[in-house]
Amino acid sequence: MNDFALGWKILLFVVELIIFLVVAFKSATLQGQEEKEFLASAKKKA
Amino acid sequence: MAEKNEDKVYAVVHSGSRLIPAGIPGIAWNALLAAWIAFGAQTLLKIAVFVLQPIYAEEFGLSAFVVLLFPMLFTFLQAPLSPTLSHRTDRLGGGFSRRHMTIMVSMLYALIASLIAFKSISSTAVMFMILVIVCALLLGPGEPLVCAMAADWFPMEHRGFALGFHHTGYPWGSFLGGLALAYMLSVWGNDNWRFTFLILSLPTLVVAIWFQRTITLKNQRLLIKASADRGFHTSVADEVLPSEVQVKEQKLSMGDSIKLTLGNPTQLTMVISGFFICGSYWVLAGFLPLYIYYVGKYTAAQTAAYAVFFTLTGGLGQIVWGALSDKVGRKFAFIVIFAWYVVGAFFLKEYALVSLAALIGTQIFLGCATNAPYPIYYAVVYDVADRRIKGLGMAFMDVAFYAGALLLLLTGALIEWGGGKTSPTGYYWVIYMLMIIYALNIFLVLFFSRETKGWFYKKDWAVVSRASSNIPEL
Repeated sequence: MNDFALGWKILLFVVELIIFLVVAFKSATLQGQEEKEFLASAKKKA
Repeated sequence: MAEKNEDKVYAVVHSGSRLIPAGIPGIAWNALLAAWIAFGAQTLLKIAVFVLQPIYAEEFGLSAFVVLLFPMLFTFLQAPLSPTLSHRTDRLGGGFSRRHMTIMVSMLYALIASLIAFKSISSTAVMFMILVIVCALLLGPGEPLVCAMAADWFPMEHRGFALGFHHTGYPWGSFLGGLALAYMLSVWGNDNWRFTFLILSLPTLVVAIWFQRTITLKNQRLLIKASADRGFHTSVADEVLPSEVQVKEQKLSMGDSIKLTLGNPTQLTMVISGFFICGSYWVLAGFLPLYIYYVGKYTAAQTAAYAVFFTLTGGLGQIVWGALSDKVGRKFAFIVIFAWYVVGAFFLKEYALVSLAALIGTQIFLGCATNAPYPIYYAVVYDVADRRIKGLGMAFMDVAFYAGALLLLLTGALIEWGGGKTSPTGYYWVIYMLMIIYALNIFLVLFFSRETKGWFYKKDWAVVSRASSNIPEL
């Protein structure tokens, strides 16, 4: 079974995967900080 | 108590609006553009499953009925996870808290779609269907999340415009996706159709990075301040609906959220109407190529090109009617759009196949009403759902929209009963069915939902009360 442009497919998939892991990690870390900050300021207002 | 609470309520009806937004903070435009591109990127993958049908049918040796199961299941299975995952993002009142879930579902469906590109993984029809189904399950929640994001981050004075603009991502994304697929197939050949899924998933990367940088708590605070400085109101900071006044618990369980959502007659009417109207969209998208090919006697290539003209005015209709609904009212906009569609469908039956100019002209006319209702459904739901259930309300609309794909079964049956795909009779019955659905929806919306803003707020013909619809009395 000959897979057309297999090298390109693997390269693009790996790039996609790396970007996903980096963005997801950054977003998750930020989400944790933001939630704490948001809840603390809501408490303060109340 | 009710009167005492009214002064705490700030709903969309209290916000005056110009037709064309001016002086909107840059951060609101930035977020709206990100949500718009995200919706367009989702559509690229959606359109591939539809447009590539003839090619994978041939490769896997599938019958017409089996190959139609792919787009049918793909559409239907976008519904199941939408309510649960969207509702999780309502926890902190939407806004920045929708970012992480949106990034996760977007990147996961992009990765799954990319796997289709590898022949060793998607070599059989069963494996391809499994990948398509997993992709659909993750792609589904993406739509209500980015719709809610568009409404969260734009001033509520221009909610209809924001949602109308945002929703052009679907028809124009479909149009661009169709062109991109045609180009890729012409360069690489039909045998390499799998590669297109990987290429079409790449814009999602850009969107994920954009969200990660834009949809943040810091920017949300900037948005609130900049909006207030310019005399605008934001949903995340200012909107308080009657159901939110004096609530002790800011978070609701899933069961209570569903009760609050479907217990609101205006929201329930939007869900029922959305099922039939969006179902009619799937019917039109599925039936039109067959009608043009078999009854109009155009070639397959001409059919592919001539069956998408309605998407051009489809996108424009969303912006124009979305923005107009801020001024003239949501229900009034619905009624005019539905009546417009009935006239357009009549033209489709009587004149569309007379000449090529008539075929394009009919679609241009009909297109003004085909896509226009969707942003207004979202706008109404966002107007009446409080911040604890806005995301869930959007998700219920999407469940109705995707479930509308079931009308395709009736479409196929009508064409068969009318004498098969080469006989015009069945196609005419389908057009009559569309006209009846739109005509009945005029009455459904008129009597069973409340106007949330605009000219007819006080002269509403609804039989349901404002209180039950979570709309303040003026």
